[in-house]
Amino acid sequence: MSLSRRDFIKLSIASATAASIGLSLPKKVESKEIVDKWVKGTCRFCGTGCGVYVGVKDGKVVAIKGNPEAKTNFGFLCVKGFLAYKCMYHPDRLKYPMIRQKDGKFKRVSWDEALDYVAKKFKYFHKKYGKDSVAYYGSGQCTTEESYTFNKLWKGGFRSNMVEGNPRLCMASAVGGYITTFGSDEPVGSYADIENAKCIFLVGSNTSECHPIIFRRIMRHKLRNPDVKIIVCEPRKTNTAKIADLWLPVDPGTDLAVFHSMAREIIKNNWHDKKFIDAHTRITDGKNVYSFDKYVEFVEQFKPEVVEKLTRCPAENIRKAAKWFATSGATMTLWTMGLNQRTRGVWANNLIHNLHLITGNICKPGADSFSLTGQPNACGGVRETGSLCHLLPGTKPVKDKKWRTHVEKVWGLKPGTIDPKPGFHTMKMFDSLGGENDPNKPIKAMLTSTTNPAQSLPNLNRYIKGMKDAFLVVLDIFPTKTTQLADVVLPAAFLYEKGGVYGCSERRSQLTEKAVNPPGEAKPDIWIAAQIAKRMGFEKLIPWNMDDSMKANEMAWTDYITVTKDSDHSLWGATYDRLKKEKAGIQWPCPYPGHPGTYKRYVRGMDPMFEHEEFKRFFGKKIPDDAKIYFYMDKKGEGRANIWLRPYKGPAEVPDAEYPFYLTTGRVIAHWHTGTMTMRIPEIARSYPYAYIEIHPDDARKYNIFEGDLVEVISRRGKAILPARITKNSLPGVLFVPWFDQEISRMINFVCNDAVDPGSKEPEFKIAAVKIRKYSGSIQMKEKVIISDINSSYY
Amino acid sequence: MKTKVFILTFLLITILLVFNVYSDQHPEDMADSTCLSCHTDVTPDVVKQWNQSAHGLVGVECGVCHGDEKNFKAKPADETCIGCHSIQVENNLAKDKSCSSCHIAHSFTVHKVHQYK
Ligand code: SF4
Repeated sequence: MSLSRRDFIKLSIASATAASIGLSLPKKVESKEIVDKWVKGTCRFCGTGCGVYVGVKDGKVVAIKGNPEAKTNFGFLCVKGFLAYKCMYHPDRLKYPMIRQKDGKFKRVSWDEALDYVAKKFKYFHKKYGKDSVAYYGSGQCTTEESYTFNKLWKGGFRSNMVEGNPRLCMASAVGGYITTFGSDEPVGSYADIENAKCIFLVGSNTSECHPIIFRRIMRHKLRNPDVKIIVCEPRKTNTAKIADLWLPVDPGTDLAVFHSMAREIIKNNWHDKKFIDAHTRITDGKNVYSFDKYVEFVEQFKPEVVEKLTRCPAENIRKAAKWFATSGATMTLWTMGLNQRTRGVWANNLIHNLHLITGNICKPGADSFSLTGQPNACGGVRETGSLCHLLPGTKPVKDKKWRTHVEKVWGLKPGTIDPKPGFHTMKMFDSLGGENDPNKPIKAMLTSTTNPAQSLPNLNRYIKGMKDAFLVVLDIFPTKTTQLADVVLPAAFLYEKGGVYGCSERRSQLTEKAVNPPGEAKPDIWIAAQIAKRMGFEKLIPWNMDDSMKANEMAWTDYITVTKDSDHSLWGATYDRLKKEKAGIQWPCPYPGHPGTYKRYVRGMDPMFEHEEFKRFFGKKIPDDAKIYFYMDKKGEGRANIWLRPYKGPAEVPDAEYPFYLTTGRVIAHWHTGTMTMRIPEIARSYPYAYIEIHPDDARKYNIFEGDLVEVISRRGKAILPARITKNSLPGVLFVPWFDQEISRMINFVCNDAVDPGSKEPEFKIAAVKIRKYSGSIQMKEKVIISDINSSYY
Repeated sequence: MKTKVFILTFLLITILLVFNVYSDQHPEDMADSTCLSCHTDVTPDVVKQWNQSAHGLVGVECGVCHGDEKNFKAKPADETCIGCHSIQVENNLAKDKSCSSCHIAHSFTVHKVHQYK
């Protein structure tokens, strides 16, 4: 009797089933006391900001559980969150500082040696090539204290605005959208609006995989209230669409027309909120202000049938979506990279805000225009501390003289220290990075922390050489594609080995306590930053250079909330002590001790800025006593939000005869960012051991491609080779590849477009025109690729 | 065929019980495949149940509870469940039983003992 592999598995399952219905198999009785203590913290993956408790036993993290009192996740976590600790003890952890030698190999050195070397090199470049020749490239995964420290060191110490971070690649368009529409960055409402919404519009967001716990909230709300309408607008019918009532399929980059068309339908059917529009908005194209009739006239060109031809979105679906959006009672829109990573990302954001403003779906429970942030601390750490080349703490521009003067004063600097000219945005920064002997590359050195640009930048071919030639210092916990190009590698501590504050998508800052010590000689980034500062003569500016990371964090945090004390982003009431005690963190504005934090902005009675005299005085704001809703950061001082007349504009690259497909990229639930951590967790890696290309059956047939065949995907910039997954969930003509894979032949960012949004400077990761060819039949894939050898080469 | 399956099932259970390997060994090398690529075919009912459950909707995939072939667990330990269901794990009245002893595997609609849905 022969037994095939499949038969055997079937039988195993049968036996398991038999066992489960009566036969009790021997098992260990699990001890409930699995830990010595539970330490409060947040998850370090994704912008949801789930509260966790980190379980410590014998000085090691052995478990993570959700914090039931956290207002973000109510105790639930996704797979990344509760298995995160498993990567902390992976043998590949970087444990010692290392300097690359003449023979190209890294050599272990002492911390003093490494830091002295970095400081000496930075000083040398500053002297020889000027203050802007050394750049900082940070991350939405650094803690707030770390980003703030590096930002202060560069802008206040080196007097250089060459400070960027990977939120430029994911959230800059959302920042641009909020500032141009409402005058101030970040959402008006909170996650709590989800449970109050009657209609939820998910656009440019595969929420179920990229923000799983937000999706869980939406799913629960929908299951409990089947009348709640869920609309999904995406080129792909993703897992998120499983709970949707309506799918608006669109060709990548064409959805601007759909949003305008929805606005047209809303107005045509008189579903708009005339009172709200008159009282709280203005129509503008950025130059002039117009009457509402002008807007009506403008959107007239976006007739659903016309838009259907342009976008492939059925006219009927647009009409239905418009009706549900405007008439359900309270509508909440949520989006992420699908709108932001575009050459018209700011406009796409504006047009979503337009829909909320014309229907009055803002500033009331369940109604909000809500950008989900990708990374755990892009909002708190980078946007709010102003750790981008054009900003200062409080998300205020470096160009703003009054704010600059204020920051100089609080930082104890001489007037005129901070450069009023913005530095280079991320793509320009990497384009300007190169070797000493290259006169076209003004940036000669870079320090990167907690990110992996050698895998995550679009159109990688263009930027690798610059990173390799320049003096590159990398702070990370594992070898990555970027450490392969580095000159100095400094081993960093994991979040639970250092503690710090993360601010998630809903303006909520939550503190993580240090739970355990880092392995080997790894150190918190804040310590590394402060040690470099000390060696470069800025000890006074960054005095928090002690070994105790929580003490250093507290000093940096207090410094930060002092600078932003009277701004619209005030966290003055969120002292470190209080953050330690708060089970669910605090949502800003929180302008004084004891203030509970703010669920909704711009609404009297909810938003404390209405009564904040110092704020009003500093920013010259007058809020009428009878104003219930007032967009007080309006630059014109009228308390109005802008409804934008934005013309239709497609993506930078559209398919043509030579490159006939759209390529769009994204994430999967199992992997975070470039997979350097999650690929080291076996339970997670098994679900997605390598990247793949999704292709519609009609297209697969044309190219004679079968499931698992290798497909080469080629753009004008680069190529990748991936196994095919044939699925009807994408539109014909649209291909999808996730970007987590570190195997160089499968790294899709070689193919992606680096064209940027003129407003936000965010690149168009989401859309490229490509061609494909069948490369070979199916082969056994090199799976779960990680970089273990620090001396391995990039190519 | 039915008799054959029954006998084989019985034999298999006996072997597993005797060697006590049931809880810790995936019967096959997984090569480069994902769990679903095989189990959609070999255990379609299980995959369907999971797919329709809250776990399926929010992407708690096979490996999260069962690991892979190197750290396979046929029955997930409470250390896994506690990630999301800490209150329930900590308040479990049947202290000697783990969550997976009573909850319906893969659809997770409360208790299998009472088939209470
Ligand atoms: S949803 Fe995001 S924050 Fe929450 S556990 Fe998952 S990865 Fe972490």
